Amino acid sequence: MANAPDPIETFRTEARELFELLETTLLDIEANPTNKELIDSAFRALHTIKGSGAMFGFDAASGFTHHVENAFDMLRKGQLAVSHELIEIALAARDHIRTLIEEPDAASPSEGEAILAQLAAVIGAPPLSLVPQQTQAKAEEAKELHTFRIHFRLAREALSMGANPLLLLKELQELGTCTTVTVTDQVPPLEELDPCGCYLGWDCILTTDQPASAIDDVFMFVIDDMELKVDVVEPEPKRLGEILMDRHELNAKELDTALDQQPKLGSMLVDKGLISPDTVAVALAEQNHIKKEAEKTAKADSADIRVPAKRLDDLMDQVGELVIAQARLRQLANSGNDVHLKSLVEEIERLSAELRDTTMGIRMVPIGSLFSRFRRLVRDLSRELGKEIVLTTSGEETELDKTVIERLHDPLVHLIRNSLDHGVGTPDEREASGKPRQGNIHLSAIHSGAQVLISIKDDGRGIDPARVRAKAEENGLIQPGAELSDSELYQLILLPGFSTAAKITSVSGRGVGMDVVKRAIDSLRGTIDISSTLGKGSEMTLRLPLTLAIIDGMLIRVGEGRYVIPLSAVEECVALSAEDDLRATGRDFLNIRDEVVPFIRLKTLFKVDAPPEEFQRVVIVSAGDMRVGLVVDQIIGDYQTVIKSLSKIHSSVQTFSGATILGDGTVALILDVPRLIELGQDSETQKKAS
Amino acid sequence: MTSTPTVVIGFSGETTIRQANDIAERLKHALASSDRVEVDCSGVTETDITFIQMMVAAHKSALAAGKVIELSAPARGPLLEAVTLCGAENGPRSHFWFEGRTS
Repeated sequence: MANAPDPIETFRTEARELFELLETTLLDIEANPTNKELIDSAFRALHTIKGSGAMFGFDAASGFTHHVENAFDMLRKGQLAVSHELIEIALAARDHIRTLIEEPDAASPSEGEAILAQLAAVIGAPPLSLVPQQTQAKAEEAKELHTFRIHFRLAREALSMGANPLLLLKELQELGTCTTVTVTDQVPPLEELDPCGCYLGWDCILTTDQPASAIDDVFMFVIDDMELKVDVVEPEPKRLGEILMDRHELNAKELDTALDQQPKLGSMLVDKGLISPDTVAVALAEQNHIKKEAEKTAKADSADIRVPAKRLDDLMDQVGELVIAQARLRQLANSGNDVHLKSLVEEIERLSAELRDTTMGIRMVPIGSLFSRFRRLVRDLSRELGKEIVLTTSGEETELDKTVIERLHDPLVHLIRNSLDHGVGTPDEREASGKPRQGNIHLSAIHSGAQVLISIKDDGRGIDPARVRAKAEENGLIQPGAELSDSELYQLILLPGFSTAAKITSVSGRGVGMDVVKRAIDSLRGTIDISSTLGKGSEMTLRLPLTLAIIDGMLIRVGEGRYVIPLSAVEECVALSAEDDLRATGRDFLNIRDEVVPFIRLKTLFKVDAPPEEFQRVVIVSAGDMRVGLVVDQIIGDYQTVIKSLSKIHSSVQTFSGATILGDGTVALILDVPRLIELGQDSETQKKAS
Repeated sequence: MTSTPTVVIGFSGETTIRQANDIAERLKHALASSDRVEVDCSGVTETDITFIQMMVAAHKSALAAGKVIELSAPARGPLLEAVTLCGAENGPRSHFWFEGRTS
């Protein structure tokens, strides 16, 4: 089993989420300065960072956060108005706190001081200091909550001696959540009352993280001459009605109706003269208080659980092994005639497919979490570059494997920076070309079959094909005068050492980037499409597989060897008749519903030395809008495949993207469809040329 | 029962232990002179539990004698603060403090 998690690491993980939330909230506030909920939410995030930071010993972070929290408290109370300047400082402060927590040694105190000085100037407060506010922060959110039942009554002459029960009550109520009830049953009628005597008593139900001694401290000065009883209230066991409801034997409405008809215990007892109405009121107040506290706890309990990613990976591996074992079982069952075994195998197949889907579902994360990180990037960079650019997003709910999302971050940063720097012009340039001053970058995600398409689209200058060509010729990437379509030209941008930007900025233009993006997307088994209209804008579309671990495949046979084609790429299967085969010799084209599709004989490609078989099949596969046929000897059927990557020695092998283990324990290679299509199209061009 | 006119008594300024005896006398007098007493606390600037206690006692006496005593208006200001600290909203007399004259 994994080691017990390091509490500091756990705190950092939680803090990271809070930082993300804080950043999004701050940006939202900037767009929406009067939204009180947003301000509250930022305040809460800061408050939690401060409190838990102090708990885990990040006193510097906690002390610093305290001041920012104060500023937000002022916003919350309306003593301060939201300004761009304030948000700017708050964002800088957020970054600083983050450094204080992630790498405390790297944080520079002078930077912290500078931020605090700016903050003080904005909120008009005296200079703030970095001295940690330990006592204040440490007391918060730390300990377990207890509920106490406190009953107290002062001596009759206490008031004349200067005691003030109101102050005591106030102190008690400041310890935590407190429900107070006055006990008035000892107050006599007016005629018998000593106006200066103390007749009232109090019952308090206090839920607090403080120890019982804190309660004693409240009564320190009057304790000698008073009645004080402190009990710990245990959480009550469930009642009959609640248990029945939990077991779905009874619904809430039925229970309420029944309870309404039942006489209340309190009023029954009062009617019989056993207790006074005051006592009932006290007991009812206690019941309500505990109910409310229980609801609060229940809310906190129903939150998500955090699981280390390693465990999910292990689970995924095990499901993968299960899928392989199940395939072997199926093969075994199919070779015999045992009906019972076959039906059992079907059952297991269904279960393991469900298990696979659920496991994959656990790893799926909405891409919105990734998108929201770019808002800050776009905001800060566009200011730095003197541009007015808004980032809009759509399809945030699209889910992708967590690993894929993490590995997408850097490539997307590159692409967005490119759009910001080269794509969208300055407000003046834009106005001159008849566009609104404000530029737009749109980030979207959408499911398409077993793939996800992520596009980054801007309404900027677009890519100039002539400049790309000139640059490519200059760098020797293409022959001068080579015939290339625009989309082929755009693909050149992805080659190492290519940059069309005349001027190098801090953001991009050094000619590193796009090839890095291409490599990252390749490693995710994805592709990049580029489209652009000069003067209108450009769009980069990333096509990515949903997951890296398991695919549905089609098992085929070529000669003696078996191979897997990813099912998502398969369009259709057709028979290759003997006449077609003969006619196509040397031309390798197939007429599919009046459309000419090139095909590749896998037998030739894999150099299998065997005569062609009688019933060959063509599997038509596609990637993007390109199609190619693969001639195979036999289609065995669909096959769930756990992808095992090829070893480093084989990393140069181009036509295969991985391998898998078949039911009988042999290895089958997985065909890399996009590469095969490239190959097919290449041979087509070659043949056209010859 | 022939109804006597409502007697309104007002308290203002401090209503603490220092004025307690006075206040008790005025309440007793008012309850003796009428079946219906209204207490106007709107001018109260400082109070303590002796005042709250006296109102409770007066309320008890009035109930026992079949009379009515009520606040002219729901408690507010320093009085509201004091009765809230005491937890009056959870007690049996919450309507007395928070509703005022209902008729």
